[in-house]
Amino acid sequence: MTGPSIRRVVIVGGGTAGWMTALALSRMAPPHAPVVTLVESPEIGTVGVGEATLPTIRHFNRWANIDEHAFVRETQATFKLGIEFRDWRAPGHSFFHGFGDHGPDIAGLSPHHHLLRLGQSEALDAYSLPAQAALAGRFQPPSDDARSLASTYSYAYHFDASLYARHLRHLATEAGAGHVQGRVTDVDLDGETGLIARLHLDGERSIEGDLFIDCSGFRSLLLGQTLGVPFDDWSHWLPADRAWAVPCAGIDAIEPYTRSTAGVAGWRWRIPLQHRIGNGHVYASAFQDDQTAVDTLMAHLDGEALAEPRQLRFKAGHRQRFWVGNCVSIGLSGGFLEPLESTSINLIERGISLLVQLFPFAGLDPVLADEYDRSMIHAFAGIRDFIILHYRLGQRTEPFWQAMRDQPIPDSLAEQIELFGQTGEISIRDPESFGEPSWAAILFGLGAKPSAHHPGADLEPRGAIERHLARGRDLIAQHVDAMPHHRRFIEAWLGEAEARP
Amino acid sequence: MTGPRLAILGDGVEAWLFAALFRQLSRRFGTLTVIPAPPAHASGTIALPPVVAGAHQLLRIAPAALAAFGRPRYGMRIAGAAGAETLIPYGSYGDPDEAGNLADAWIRLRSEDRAPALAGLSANRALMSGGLLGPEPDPRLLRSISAGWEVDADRYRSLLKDAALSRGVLCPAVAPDSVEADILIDARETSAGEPGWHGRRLSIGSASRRWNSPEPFAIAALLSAAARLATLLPRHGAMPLLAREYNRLLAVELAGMDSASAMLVRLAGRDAPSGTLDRYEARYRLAGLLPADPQPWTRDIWLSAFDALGWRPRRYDPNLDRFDGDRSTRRFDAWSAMIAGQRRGSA
Repeated sequence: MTGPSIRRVVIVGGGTAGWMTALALSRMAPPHAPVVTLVESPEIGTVGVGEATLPTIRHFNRWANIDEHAFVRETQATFKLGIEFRDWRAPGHSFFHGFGDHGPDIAGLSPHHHLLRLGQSEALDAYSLPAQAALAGRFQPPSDDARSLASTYSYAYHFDASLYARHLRHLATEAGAGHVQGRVTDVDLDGETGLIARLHLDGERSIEGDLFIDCSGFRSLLLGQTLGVPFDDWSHWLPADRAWAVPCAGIDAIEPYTRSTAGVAGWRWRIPLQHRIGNGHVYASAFQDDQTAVDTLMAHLDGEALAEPRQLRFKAGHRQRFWVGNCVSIGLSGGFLEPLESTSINLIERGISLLVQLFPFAGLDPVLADEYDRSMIHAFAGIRDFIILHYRLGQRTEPFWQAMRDQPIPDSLAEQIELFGQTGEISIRDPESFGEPSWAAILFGLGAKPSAHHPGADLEPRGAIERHLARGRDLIAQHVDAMPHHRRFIEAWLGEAEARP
Repeated sequence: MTGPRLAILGDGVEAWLFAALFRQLSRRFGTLTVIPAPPAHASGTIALPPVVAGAHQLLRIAPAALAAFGRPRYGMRIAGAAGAETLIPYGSYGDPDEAGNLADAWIRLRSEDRAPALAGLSANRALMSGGLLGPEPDPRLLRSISAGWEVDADRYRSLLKDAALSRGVLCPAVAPDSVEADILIDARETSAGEPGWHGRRLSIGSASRRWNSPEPFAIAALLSAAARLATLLPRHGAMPLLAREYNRLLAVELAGMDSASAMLVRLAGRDAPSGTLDRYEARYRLAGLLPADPQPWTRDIWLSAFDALGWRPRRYDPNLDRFDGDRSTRRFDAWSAMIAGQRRGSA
């Protein structure tokens, strides 16, 4: 252990990562609960593109004691059952990555082996309850009864990231977190230990701390700029480096899913909220100029633009270390992967969860930092391969897509694709990241056609399997028909909560 | 009958256990032939790890059938210097179905020097010391118990052979070199080379030479091998890719077993170099973290092993601060009283 116990935590940055961290640390209980102060510069805007999430956000919200009704009301949140991918395989084609499986194993095998045998792998979406419900615009929470079909899916949220940060700020300050408005002008390092000693703020103020959390976003003020931790650049694998973002007016129906539409040199996101729709266009500047990119975005809005489009610049990859001395990075200051699978907030959650578990209340130690680094680097690598997969298998012909298919990819992903292509087997390398149903959705959605399936599938009578699958489709259709439309569900659900005494 | 021809070399427990389980998991796929090959199968007693219970369930081998020539094995006995013996029980500390992990709660109390002795919190440990279950054991206690077996190798082998043959495994009385096979599975202890799938040969028997350990890691590895091969069933044109994936998964498993094996050596009072184990020790001592890597042991077994070596965590997961430490103490009191009561009831 190095030095005294850690009591004072200073968080730099007031975006989603900063306030999620502030709330989580403020929810720690005595005797190890730290004194938390968040420093936020009113001059620096937050990125605010991380409006779509994965189901793991619900664990965080529950852990942080965030009331779901208040959260949905305050952040204009909607429910999310997955992502629709349009034009990814080829223009005019679409498929769905739902938060659930494609039915139970049949005779000990994943359903996709049987679909392959029957030549029905194009119909994978039909066996996903969340996909069918989402595309029908319907939503209801899953059941806790493991015997119910309704227990086979999960859900996440879309929300307004700025409102989420505001809501968290309210909860965190209520829980005791301090909030200082000011711009960090300089950082003092202890000459002997190299640890961060204090931050200087504008107005000749300063703030001291024992542990500093860098949530300063792409600037990486502490970990990158001050401590000089190198960045592992992955742009040779993921060359998209810019995005335009703009909100627009919503429409009557609220789709319970994110839509990702492939374009000439990247893809556009569409995230329906209660009060508006969040839109963005991620693109590779080497293949498309900024004006064309923003024009493309603006031409595809569902309603009137509600603000001027804002440009973001980024680079895929991560810092070589996430915890150095008494500085821990959470969020974009540590690394970035394009939000194609809504992983930005998921990575924040993982960082926070690890930080709480490893919180150095008894003093700093390299063992804690190494453990943190090891887990975060592993998390980034697992997601990286899944994201690259999306660009690898389609049939789009533009130069960007051809280049994405031609360039080298990580060995781990190359092996997974090769194995699937020749055997239909899906190899899961990171069980904490995306599971087999997710990989199956993307592989089949992009048109991968394995040359073989598991031989065990051939042992079952063809007719029995066809009847089994047909029954599964019917059950899903019946279930979806009984689910309420998404907007009506939200209105009724919020209304019920307000009517409670 | 379609699919490739698989042949298993060997005639011992390993060969017949693999044959029966693989045939059950792969059902009617291809042909599976056992070719009895020297050396002759081992006799005497053989130890089976707790994970074998799943295989027995699939093969419909009832505990009563095993009890006729064996006895449950509730944990590991490690002989140390000067006749000392360390007991590492299987099973869990507390009811695994109950919310709130007792191992984590114990680590918290241990770091505060107020933890009860682990030995009193394990029903498996009580059973290892000669305790018996009463006529109507509490279901929570039963759920916490996990056991392997010590069985007569000959009779167990016969049972497995019957199970394999009844599932369609072939065992023709012919010379080994007259059986044609697409894949040869070498289940002999003397098989050459490292465990793994290399070309048309799959070595599963040589795993037993990897660890000089009283714990039957090789049997656990063999059970995994059967399940892994059933998933990655050999299919024409894809053998090299399937073998690569098989070996990748095997490497992860063997690394975990190497660490567990090194731990047993250290528990016996000897040195065993292991970078992974050194990292486990540092994490546990500093942060109270138990291993979470894929491996053969549960967190509770690691906890027993760490405690037996006298390692004391300096801190615990601060998430536990949300729960009343005194409540944990009361849970431990109630749990150990249940175990003690059971022992008295059985007396």
